[in-house]
Amino acid sequence: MPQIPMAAEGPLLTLDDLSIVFSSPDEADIVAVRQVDLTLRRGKTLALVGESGCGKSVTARAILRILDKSAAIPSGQIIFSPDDAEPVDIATLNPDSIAMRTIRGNRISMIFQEPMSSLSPVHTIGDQIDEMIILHERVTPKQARERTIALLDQVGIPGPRERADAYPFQLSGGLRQRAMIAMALSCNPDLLIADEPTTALDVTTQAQILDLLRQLQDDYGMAMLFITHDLGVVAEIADDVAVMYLGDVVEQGDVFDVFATPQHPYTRALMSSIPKMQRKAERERLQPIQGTVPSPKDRPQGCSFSSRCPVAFEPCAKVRPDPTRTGKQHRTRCHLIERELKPGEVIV
Amino acid sequence: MATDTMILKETQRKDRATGRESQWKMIWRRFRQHRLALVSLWIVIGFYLIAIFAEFLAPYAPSHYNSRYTYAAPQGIHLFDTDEQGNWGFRPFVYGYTTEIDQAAMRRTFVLDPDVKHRVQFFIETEPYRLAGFIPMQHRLFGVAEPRAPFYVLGADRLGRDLLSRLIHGTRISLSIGLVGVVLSLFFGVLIGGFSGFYGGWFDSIVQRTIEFIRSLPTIPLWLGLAAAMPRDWGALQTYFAITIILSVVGWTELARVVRGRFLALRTEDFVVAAQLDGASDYRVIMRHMVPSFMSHIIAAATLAIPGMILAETALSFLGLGLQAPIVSWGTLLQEAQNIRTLASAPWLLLPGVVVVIVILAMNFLGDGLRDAADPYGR
Amino acid sequence: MNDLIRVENLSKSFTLRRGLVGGLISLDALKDINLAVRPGETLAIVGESGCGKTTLGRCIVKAMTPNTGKVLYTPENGETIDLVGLKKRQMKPWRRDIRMIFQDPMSSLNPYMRVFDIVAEPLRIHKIAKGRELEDRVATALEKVGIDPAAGQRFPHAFSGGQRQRIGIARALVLDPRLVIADEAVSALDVSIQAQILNLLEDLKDDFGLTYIFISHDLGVVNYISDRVAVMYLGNIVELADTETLFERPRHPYTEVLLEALPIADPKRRAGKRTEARGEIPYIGNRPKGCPFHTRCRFAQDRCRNDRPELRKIDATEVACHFAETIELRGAYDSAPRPHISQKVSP
Repeated sequence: MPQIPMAAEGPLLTLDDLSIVFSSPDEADIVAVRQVDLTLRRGKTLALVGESGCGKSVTARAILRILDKSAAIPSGQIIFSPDDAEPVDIATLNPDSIAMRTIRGNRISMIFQEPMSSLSPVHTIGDQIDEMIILHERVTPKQARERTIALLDQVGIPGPRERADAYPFQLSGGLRQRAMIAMALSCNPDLLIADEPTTALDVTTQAQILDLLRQLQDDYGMAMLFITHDLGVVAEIADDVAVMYLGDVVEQGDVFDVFATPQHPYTRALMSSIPKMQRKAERERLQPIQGTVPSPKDRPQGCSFSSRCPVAFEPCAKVRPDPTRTGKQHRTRCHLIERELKPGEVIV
Repeated sequence: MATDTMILKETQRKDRATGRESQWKMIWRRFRQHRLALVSLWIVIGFYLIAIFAEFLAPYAPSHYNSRYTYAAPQGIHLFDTDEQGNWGFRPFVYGYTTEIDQAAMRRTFVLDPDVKHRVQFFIETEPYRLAGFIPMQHRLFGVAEPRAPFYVLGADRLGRDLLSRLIHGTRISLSIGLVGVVLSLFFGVLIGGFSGFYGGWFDSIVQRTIEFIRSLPTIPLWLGLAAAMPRDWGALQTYFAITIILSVVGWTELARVVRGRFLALRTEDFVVAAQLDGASDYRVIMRHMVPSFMSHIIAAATLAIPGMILAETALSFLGLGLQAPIVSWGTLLQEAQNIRTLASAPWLLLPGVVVVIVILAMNFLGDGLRDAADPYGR
Repeated sequence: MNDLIRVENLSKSFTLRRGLVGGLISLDALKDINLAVRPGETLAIVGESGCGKTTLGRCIVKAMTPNTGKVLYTPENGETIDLVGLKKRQMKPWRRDIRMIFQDPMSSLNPYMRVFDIVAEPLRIHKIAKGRELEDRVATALEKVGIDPAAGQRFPHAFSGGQRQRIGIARALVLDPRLVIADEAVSALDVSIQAQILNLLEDLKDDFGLTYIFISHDLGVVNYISDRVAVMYLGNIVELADTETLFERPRHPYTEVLLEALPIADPKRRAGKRTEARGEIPYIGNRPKGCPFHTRCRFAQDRCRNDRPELRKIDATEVACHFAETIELRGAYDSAPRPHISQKVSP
């Protein structure tokens, strides 16, 4: 019987008990991300959603090990299991090691909110993508350019042969984002990390880019980690969703489950903060969360949301709730749920 | 006392934590983290104090000479000695000289004579003078007791004048010329740059083209030309001011650019638009909303401009076209070190150059530190 | 009742120089805008970047001067004043009535002034109050927006984005205005904070009897807060209607595109692929001839390429489209998953 490699089963990426700490000489260490568990299924999209400062971008950067020098990963694992290679714990790799660079270049790509920050302003987009291809494959410059043009066409850039000779500043925001996506795809990644890729774009362009990413995911079969603050975008693109608040993943699960039956008070509050598309007669007043997000320095000792939670009770401020299963793939960190479940009971 | 300081520290910390800390306090806090700039600040303050109290600090007047001691070597100062009873203690003195005639070179050389000691006294009484030109005084910080004894801590020049005294007096001229020059530049720079940046339009175009023209002129020949046009018979004070004006002719352009740039950047800031929409007058918008946010930048730019002025003065005077003897500045002092042969026998005449280097470096570091600290919000 | 503000035939163009010695080119940011703001309403102006919505707002508050056209304001005494022609000094009294809230809470407050002084500044400029009274009025304004007046001695950097936006609102309100122009006032804020500010704006409107011009690109927010909506595209108003009418039955193809592009926080309503405008907004320097939207419109005909449609009234809607009567467009209130027509980016 042929041996199926272990790696081809199970999730592509698992974050297990991951914490990220920033230290500075003057002040106390800041725990930006604490004990996060995430799983990213092969070929699926996990959306990491939360407000500014919740640690979603830091988590993504930790996966690529492109955090600042002041950041450290004191605990946890980042297990990356590509189809055709041994699983590896990214958290233990040296950020500058060859192994890590290979992962960054060949296996995991990232696109950013502002394409200009990752495209060189002095080279044409064609040259930049050619270079990526030549770096990863043994091809002649001519073959590389053909691949580049095919890629640009695939990401929906009109007139790809001519546009390959354009400099980034000559393209509109939407086309630039497409060019960056083409560059990210040039190495055929197993995982694409998209950090707020549509936030700076107009709504119609955003819709186009979301459609494109979905299409490309079908074509390439890659998994995607999609970071956003916009629940609307999550609903459009995600298979799974993880809601972050102040360094904690407070709720995660299948996107349909989480949107249909949000369990954590923060997720619920977030959802009732967005105006619904309703007629005037049905309109309800928004139910915002009181107060503002505290800085990670002032994070409550227990549940990080307890200082603003409308339903907080005795243990919340002191004791940190463990993740509780609230559905098939659905897990929530909340004492209220722990209390409502009888010991040993598991929702299926 | 200690508790007072503690309370003060505590309120400062609280102010910072609660965001009550004002701009200048934040700048100062950030500036203090810049060690090199902090040290430089003290050096610069020290030199300006020397400039202010020059008559008191210098053992002699700058023109005091003694032809017996031309090119006398530096004596140095010895701080500790035994007194008549053989007790060792703080008793500063200098050695006297013996003269040797170098037959080959046909020249006198001075050799320190360990047998002759001249006591150095503090707050020694001398002929009356006016400190900074208006405070009548009769004492100097230090000097030798015997009026005819030689006292050349850093050596003497070709007329037997004390280099230390001349250096101290030169500090006053050189540092003040930098300062006055920058103040003049600042005045024109802020005025013209401000108008240019705030109102824009044709005035801005003319000013910018003028600045470009001035800056495209090679500065040294320009200064030389202007200095050469200066009437020879002008007195010391007139020459002094003429030189500051000549230096400012180029100096204002840099500052005008900085100011204009800040104005242009700020003019479209929302908070400036908000002030205009409040109905504030132009004057109020500028003085209350715009100037405070680039004041610190201007101070930093001005600090960085001073060394340029000092160097320019030094260069002009060195070439003989700036200040003229009897005015003593670092430039005129260095002028005496032009001759290689003199330098070979009296290398201490280069000391003004060393002082120039120290002061210029300190001012540059200070300016850098100010510039880095100038924007407390890191925008 | 008179309109509070009536914008008539307003046009604004910017001249840019191409290169150092190149010729001047003129960009039309606003072209022949006609718009009325009724007292007590919230009028939303929506559109994507470069559509001219911000320029229109700034022309109304007279932060910019339009090239042609009028901005007619009716103050409490009932006369009608054209703000465009006013000199600085003549404009000053009306600045008390017409106020603005800015988008970026970071840059709209002077970092070097204490919060108290920021809010007190308009009172001082208009010499309305001083001493004790000034302090009271500032304190009242801060309280109204939910900021503890005791925090007035702090500098803006000590506040979060949402709090700063509240301070900006206090500055607008301290003069008891009649019209407030909110330019993307909640766009830079996190969703939970955005909801707080939206509620605050609503409450203040009731308390002070305000009229809002709410400039935004976010149709979800616009549907929530506004009474009427003007949709702008490339410097033109393409559709103007009651909020409910516009969202229920859009008449302009561009409005439909905007509505469909809006991500809705419900995965069950996830779009397969959308109707989708093809391509991107043209650079404003190459405004297409004819209907500005024809390059991306799925209904475009020859006529659209040549004739510019005027804004005209169909039922309760004003719309600038030649075929507004005949085309069938989808509204945004349907809860069914949105069907799709495939898209291709055109050159």
